[in-house]
Amino acid sequence: MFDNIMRVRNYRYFWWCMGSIVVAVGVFATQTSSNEPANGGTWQGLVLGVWAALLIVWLTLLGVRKRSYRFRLGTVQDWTSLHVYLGVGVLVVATLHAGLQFGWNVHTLAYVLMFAVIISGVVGLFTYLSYPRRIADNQQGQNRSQLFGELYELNQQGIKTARSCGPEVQTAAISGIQRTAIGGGVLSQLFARDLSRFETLDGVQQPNPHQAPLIDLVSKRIPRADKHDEVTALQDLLVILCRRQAVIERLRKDIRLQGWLQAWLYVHVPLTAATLTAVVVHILVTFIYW
Amino acid sequence: MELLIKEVVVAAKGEAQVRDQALSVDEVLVGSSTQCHVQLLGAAAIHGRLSKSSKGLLFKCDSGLSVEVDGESVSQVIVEVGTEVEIAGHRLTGIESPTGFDAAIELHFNPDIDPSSFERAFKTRLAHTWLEQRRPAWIAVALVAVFGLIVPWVVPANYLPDFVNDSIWSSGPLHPAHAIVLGDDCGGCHTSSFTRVEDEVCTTCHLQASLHTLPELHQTVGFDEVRCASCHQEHHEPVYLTVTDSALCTDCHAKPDWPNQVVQPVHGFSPGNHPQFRLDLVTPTLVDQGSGQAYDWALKSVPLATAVERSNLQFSHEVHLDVGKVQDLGTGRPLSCASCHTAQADDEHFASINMERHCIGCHDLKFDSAAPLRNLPHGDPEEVILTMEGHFLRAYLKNEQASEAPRRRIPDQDADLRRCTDTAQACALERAAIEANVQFTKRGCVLCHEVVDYGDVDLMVRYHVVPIQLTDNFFLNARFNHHVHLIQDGISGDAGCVTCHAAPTSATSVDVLIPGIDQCFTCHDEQGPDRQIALECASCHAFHPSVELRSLLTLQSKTL
Repeated sequence: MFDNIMRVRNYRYFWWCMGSIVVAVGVFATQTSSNEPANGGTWQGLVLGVWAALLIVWLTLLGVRKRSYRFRLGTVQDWTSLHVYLGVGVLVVATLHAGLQFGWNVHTLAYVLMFAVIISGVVGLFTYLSYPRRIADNQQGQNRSQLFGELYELNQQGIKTARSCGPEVQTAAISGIQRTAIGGGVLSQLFARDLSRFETLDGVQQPNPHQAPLIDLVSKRIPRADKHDEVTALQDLLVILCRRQAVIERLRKDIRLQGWLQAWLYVHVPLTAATLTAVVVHILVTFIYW
Repeated sequence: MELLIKEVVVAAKGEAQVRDQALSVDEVLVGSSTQCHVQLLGAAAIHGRLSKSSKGLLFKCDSGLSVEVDGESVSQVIVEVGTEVEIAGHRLTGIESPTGFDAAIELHFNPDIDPSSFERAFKTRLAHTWLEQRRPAWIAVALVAVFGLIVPWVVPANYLPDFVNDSIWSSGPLHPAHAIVLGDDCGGCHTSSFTRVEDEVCTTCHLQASLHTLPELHQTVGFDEVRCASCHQEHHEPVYLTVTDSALCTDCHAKPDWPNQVVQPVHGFSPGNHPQFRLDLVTPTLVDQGSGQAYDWALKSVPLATAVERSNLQFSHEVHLDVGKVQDLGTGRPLSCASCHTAQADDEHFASINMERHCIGCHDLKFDSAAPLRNLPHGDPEEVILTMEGHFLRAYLKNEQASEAPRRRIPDQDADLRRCTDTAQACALERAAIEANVQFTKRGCVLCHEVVDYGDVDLMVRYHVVPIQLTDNFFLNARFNHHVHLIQDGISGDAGCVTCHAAPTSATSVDVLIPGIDQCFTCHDEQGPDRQIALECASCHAFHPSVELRSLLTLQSKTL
């Protein structure tokens, strides 16, 4: 479903959205009376307001629909496509409802929150449209679990091989494997920040970005090795470390892309709840001070 | 703590190999992370920690995690000899510790665990971090509900800063005039919750606001549901307190279907869509008063086409604007409209015409050529008679005294005085009667007034001057700006006035010089050519009638 959310059923929902917008603009345009400026209190404003509120409630229900497998009315794909289009469309309907009258008040708060939800939704849409392909390209047929499995095996082989090497390489390689950082905090996941380190023989910790310093250390040790077994061990270790490096980079990129695919939801969902509350407050307040 | 770990590794052939590992640390980390001293694939990154306690070797899980001991999930356990702790299928068993060690454990790795579960050793999803969706959602809901609704509703505004009191409920600014009086006091108008703003709130200050029509007609015309705020809406940007749209009127007045209606349909300002003008004329009615009759003046609404002015004034605009007959006394130039008609500050009405201000300059009230400085008083016929009688009595008495002393005779004594040979009193009264007749019936009062001569001997009741009332405001229910209408293409001054008011050809004061609606349509036909100046109803009419108009409405309703 990734790249065709927008053209589900031959753009059916795009036309639904356009229809909604055209009707809303039509209703708005009948506010020609100079009795009062366009606002939410005219009958046209009320119609637009009720329509916008219903849209917001329906848009929120996508969260329920996604979790409900018994629900038969439309597939999740249909709902998501319509969610995207009507989500953008509600901005037009709500703006017309407000009659472009904004201020520092709870009414505009509802509008601003809704606007922020839409912006985060558009960011989410962008990631949904472009990231799945990039994730697939990066994984090259191996999913994340398989990559981690491969990394585990490489780690075990690496530690075993390192034990056959001299103390300097052994310490560096084993600590480097142990202190390889993948993922981590929010920023580390979203920006693929690499906090990997390794230890030298004297106990000093060195940064190990992209595993390059450790690989560099091992490769420089090869010409200085005087025993054949050590050379073989170092060469084996180098191969393992390089394979590890490739796997780690792919994992880190996968975590970054998957992270962005989810990150917008951490804004979208709480703001949706806030918007829904603000809409209820907006409606209540309108009638408290009628 | 000195800990001995015996790792039992089952090789491919089924032979177990044991690898010893001695650790000397305070806390032994157990989990799938590569940083753990005991790395167990499939466990949490850091699943738990082994440490020395007073009761022995303690295994304590990290928050929210558990291990299985004898088939039960526990979060911590004292690892005694023989205690088996199961983590992700791996077995950790307490064994006798050799000399030099505080404790010893044996590890049996789970051979079935898939290496792909190594992912658990890392935080690879945002859900593994502090980020959450539900908790922030609930916090946002609570913040909006508490500070957007509950606090402003429950706590009085003066206990709160502006950004959380009920002023944040205002959908827009108040009109500055209202804002000065009310400030942020929402309760000033919104007196009770879930109730529309009531008219009493408005009339607390707007005492003079008059209803569009009479209260008894409100229900008839469907006004009982209409509130002040139906039209005068606050909290809009731009400020929008006064309605000027013609629909305000035509919604009802296009089809006035009220019973006993005196209102004609109006659709707009163009031929056929607006009724012909009606004038509010001051009209006299003869009523019985005492032994005789008197005039009662009342405003009457009459069609312009058939209207006749009944002011009782005798006046010809034609004569006064004819330079051959009348010139300005001071300059000798022809009179202009402004010689008599002075526009008032509203640019609509003119100062009342008044004998003392406008007429007496030419039409003096001299009555004795021998006393050219004496003028009769204006306005009260009895005073006029008394003035003349007094004047002539004095004149004849002086003449009598002069006859008795010939040497003191005044040389230019009026010949009329010498001709009367009767007593001075008789002569004076006779003379006053003659002059009164001249003034009341030939060339004085009668010039402008209608005078009835009853022929009575008593001068005091002989002449009756019919009173005059001029109409100052012909359209109580309309506005008009003379000033802007004087500016016409290539025309100025009186030429501007006479485009609408046919004064130069009006020979009599019964002529109504107010132009008809067709005159307006020459420029203001809203359905006319492009360059026409369209008018809204409110360009000329006020929704709330003036006090004068209200009295007329009251009068009309009584005649219904």
